[in-house]
Amino acid sequence: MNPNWPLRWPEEWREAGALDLVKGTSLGCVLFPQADGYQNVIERAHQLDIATCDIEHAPTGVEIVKGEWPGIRMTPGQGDASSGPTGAPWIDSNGWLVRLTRMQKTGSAVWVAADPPKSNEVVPLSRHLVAVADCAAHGGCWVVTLDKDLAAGLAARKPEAVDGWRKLIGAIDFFGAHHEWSTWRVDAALAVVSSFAGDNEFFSHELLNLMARTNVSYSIVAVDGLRPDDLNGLRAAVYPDANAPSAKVRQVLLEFVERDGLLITGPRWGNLPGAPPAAESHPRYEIRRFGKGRIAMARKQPEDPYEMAQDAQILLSHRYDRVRLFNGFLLGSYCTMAPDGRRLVHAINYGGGTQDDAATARIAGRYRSAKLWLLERTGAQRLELDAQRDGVEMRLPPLDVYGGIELEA
Amino acid sequence: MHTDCTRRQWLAAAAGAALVRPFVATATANPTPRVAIGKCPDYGPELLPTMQRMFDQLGGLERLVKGKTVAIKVNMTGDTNIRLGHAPAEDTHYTHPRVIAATVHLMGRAGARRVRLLESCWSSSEPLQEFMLRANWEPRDFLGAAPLVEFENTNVLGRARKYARLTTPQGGHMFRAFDLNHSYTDCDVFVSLAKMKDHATAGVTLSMKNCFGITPVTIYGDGAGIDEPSIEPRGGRGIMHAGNRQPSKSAVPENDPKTPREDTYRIPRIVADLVAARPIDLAIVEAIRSMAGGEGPWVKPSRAISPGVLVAGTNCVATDAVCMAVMGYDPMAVRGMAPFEKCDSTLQLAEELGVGPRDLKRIEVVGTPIREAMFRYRV
Repeated sequence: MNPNWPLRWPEEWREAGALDLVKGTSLGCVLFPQADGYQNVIERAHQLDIATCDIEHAPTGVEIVKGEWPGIRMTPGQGDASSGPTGAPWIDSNGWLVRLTRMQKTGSAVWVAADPPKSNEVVPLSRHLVAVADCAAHGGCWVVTLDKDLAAGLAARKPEAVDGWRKLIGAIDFFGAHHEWSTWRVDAALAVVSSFAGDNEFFSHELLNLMARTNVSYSIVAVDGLRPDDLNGLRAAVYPDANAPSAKVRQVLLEFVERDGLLITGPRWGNLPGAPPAAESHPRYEIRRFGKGRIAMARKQPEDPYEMAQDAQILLSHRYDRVRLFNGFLLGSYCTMAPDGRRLVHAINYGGGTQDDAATARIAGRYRSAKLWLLERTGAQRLELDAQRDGVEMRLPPLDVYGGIELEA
Repeated sequence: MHTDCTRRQWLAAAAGAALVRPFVATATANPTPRVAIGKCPDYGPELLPTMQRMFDQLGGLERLVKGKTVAIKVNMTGDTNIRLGHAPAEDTHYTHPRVIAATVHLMGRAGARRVRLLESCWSSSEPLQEFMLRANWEPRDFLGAAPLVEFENTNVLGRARKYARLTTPQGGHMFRAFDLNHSYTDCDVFVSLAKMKDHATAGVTLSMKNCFGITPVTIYGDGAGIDEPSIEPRGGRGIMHAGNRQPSKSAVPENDPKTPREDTYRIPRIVADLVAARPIDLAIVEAIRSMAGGEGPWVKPSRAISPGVLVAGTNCVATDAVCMAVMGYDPMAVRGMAPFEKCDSTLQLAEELGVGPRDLKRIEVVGTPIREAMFRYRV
């Protein structure tokens, strides 16, 4: 994560005085519109040691990717959240995109930019905070993009707008203070192994996006250079690509299966080793035993990434859920692990402050303590643990935007 | 009313009549169905002996299940991620897994050849075991409780090639037949293992209302196919509530689509039809811990309660009548009376179909007397 967070300069801000809002904050780079009329502001920014660029020209060491405003997708003209195929609210997140880009562009900071809200769109402050938290939790930076009302309010230094601005900067500072979190690796049960490019780009990208919605904790592994270590500690690997794997990739994945892994793939994989198990059947997959593990091959090349994501979850089994959230209908989670074994579960309220009921989290594993980090607080609060078979449960307070659950074994 | 009749005492008494009264008895064959009540403070070690004693008081499980395939419909209403506050679902609106495991174990011990656990998982075709895992349950606890235990999500076609058609005697109130997952016919004994709760639409949900969930949403749900059952289930049973469309054309439509389109009229009738079409051989209703005010946390206001009671019987109407009395309601209540202020009584409608009696005077209660087991759901 780049400590210099980016701000998309609002088009209507023509006065350099507005840079006072940025000066001395964690917003270290301003992205200016690709239009004339901002030269005096840019010059003043440089005098203030604030970097500048535009959306098409990222600074060195930064990858700017186009994302979307994270949150609960609302049905136009209605107050209700629209539903996905499961009936659950449809959550938009840039988490998968940040993670994929970080994997592909190792060492680069990832900035996620979404189109500015429409001029008549009401954007509550919580939506800005969710956007920041969603990116930061996954190790990226949100290109802070003000809505018209907030930009106008700030230009006029209206107290409500200035208070909102402080909270926004506070959220960025919170993640800056926990910069090490972005270096923690995912605590995954499954790997998605793909080229993520060419003919496989659309399907594999959507698979990552939709697998996050199904609450499968996954790692992202490039098929080129796949090593046995990439699959260590995992229960399953998905190879969704529409072309047969190379001999080397095939060997690594089959060795993973022989050691008690599960491989989920399509028919382009080619001939399957092993024998079909008698007891297990699946409407869309042929399942074979191989070594200590299993291979599930789709009978037809998967065309619906959501269906494949759901099938992968069931083939893997909910037994290996890292996190289960109860009454957390608008919450999304991302599980990470520190080098010293501490776990951190990022919980993001994509509804932004509209949580009706306090949630309960069930996290797999045995832990002796847990604490909760909130955007609004400087220190962490202790969480009571209810030890269960193969996991712990904890009661969460209502999360306005974000809670980081840190666990020690 | 009998109170503390043991199986041995019961057998001894029955021996005088040369033949032991069959465990499975319909209302007509046995005009005085027997219902057992057991007090149990929690889901600990007392649970198994309490349930064993109740089954003994009913004449023993062996006569019912030995060498048979037993299908047990449990109650896991709604999705697994919904809780009343922080309480696990089994402490409020789901049948508790320990009651399920105890039932399976006792069935196995009584010689059941196979026990099949059934539920229509909310809006999903996933295996029932996976649904249970999402609820923080351990399916292996059930697998280990009896020699052969299977699971089936009955919201979908499952292992069969087509849905099984069950007809409603006398044509039913609303449906003269239902198309159901094969597990409801591929069994010798059908058990409804329910939770004792209030219900926002039907007044109460007990062993009979539990069977509303035997209807597959692929045919009777919001996402049901128009001509044929859908492959994937989606959503709930809104069309059964509202009557805004008919089930898939492959199934038998409503008897009279001009009847009221109100859920408080429809649901009690559909449930009565269902238990007439798929008779319940053993009704078990659990309320060691439960909730009052509604059938799930989505009904507000509602509260968690600990009645510490179990009720079981071989006639579902009689069993539900005793449950109502235990809850502090009058089982003879009709529309306009608690808990049926806004709906018709499923018990009355099932009685009209000849399923069983709801009048306590026609029911033999054994075990704990009602007055000692009573836990008023409405304060």
